[in-house]
Amino acid sequence: MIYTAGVDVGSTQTKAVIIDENLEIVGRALNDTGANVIVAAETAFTTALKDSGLEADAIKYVIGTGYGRYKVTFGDDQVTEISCHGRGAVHMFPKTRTVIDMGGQDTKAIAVTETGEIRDFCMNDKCAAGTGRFLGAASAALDIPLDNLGPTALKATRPVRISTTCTVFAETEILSWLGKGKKIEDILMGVHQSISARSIGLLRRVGIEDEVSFTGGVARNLGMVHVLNENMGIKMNVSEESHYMGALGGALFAMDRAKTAEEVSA
Amino acid sequence: MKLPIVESDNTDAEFENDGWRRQFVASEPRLSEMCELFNSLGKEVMLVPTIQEVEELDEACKACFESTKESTFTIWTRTNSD
Repeated sequence: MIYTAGVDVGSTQTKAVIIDENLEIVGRALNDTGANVIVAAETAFTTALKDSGLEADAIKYVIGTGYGRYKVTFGDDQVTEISCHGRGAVHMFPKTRTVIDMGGQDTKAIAVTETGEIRDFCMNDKCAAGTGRFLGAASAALDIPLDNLGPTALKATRPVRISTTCTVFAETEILSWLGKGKKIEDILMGVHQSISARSIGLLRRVGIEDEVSFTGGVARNLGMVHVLNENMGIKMNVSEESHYMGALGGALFAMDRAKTAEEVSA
Repeated sequence: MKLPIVESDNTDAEFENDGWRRQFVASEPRLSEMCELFNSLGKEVMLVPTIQEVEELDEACKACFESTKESTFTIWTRTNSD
């Protein structure tokens, strides 16, 4: 049995996925990236190995992806996260033609072919407006854990309109709304709506073609899933593995290369 | 890979008239990666320093971009059919 791995070193979290030659996930891991990117990659890989019950030498090929992919020092090669998210999304949901990947630092809209190849893409400008970082600012300002932001926002009855798109100034505006007596859930829904508007703008630039799959860490946020679905009038594909989609794509690319190497040596 | 940086006084509209499409603003390490990715999609890439755009931003964004304007570029792409 051939096993391969993908290690996705994101700005906030590092993910690792191990698959077998039937393309089934046999191990996964997620940890904070922190200051030492090399250690984060090693930790994720080691934890995924433990989850799979495999030894490191059982893994034939490792692809590094994400912004820290060149720090996957034990990897065999690197692939951009855009390519990996596209590949992972189409593997998980074969009818996917558009991918929205929302991570800690950036949001990407990706148009893919039926084989998962990239047809077009765009991402947010250098600033973090409209990305997961915006949710981080809300979490800090309201002292609510990130995982509770979505469920809290879904309780909103009269969402406020967040006018700033700047993550730096978001906290100030959120506190201002709190000072005006607005409910936390209404403020949070405003934050989600603001991010949704910017994300849909990106998606429109590459073309929103059904089916749309939502990947990246923010895909775990039920509030964001709800708002994006409602504002686009569709139901996006969201997998429990959405957070691991980049690492999964990396593992799939790694499997291609491992199988090619096997064929060459046979 | 040598980055296709272009010093130009052209406005966005002038670039668009020449078939260019504004993509987004990026700096390294993303910048090189995005250029390579656009090239792999068969697109011609042009990088324009954001200095001109900084002048057009509102005060809130200006301060942020001002601090990094030397290293940030607007990515423009053009395909053969454009």
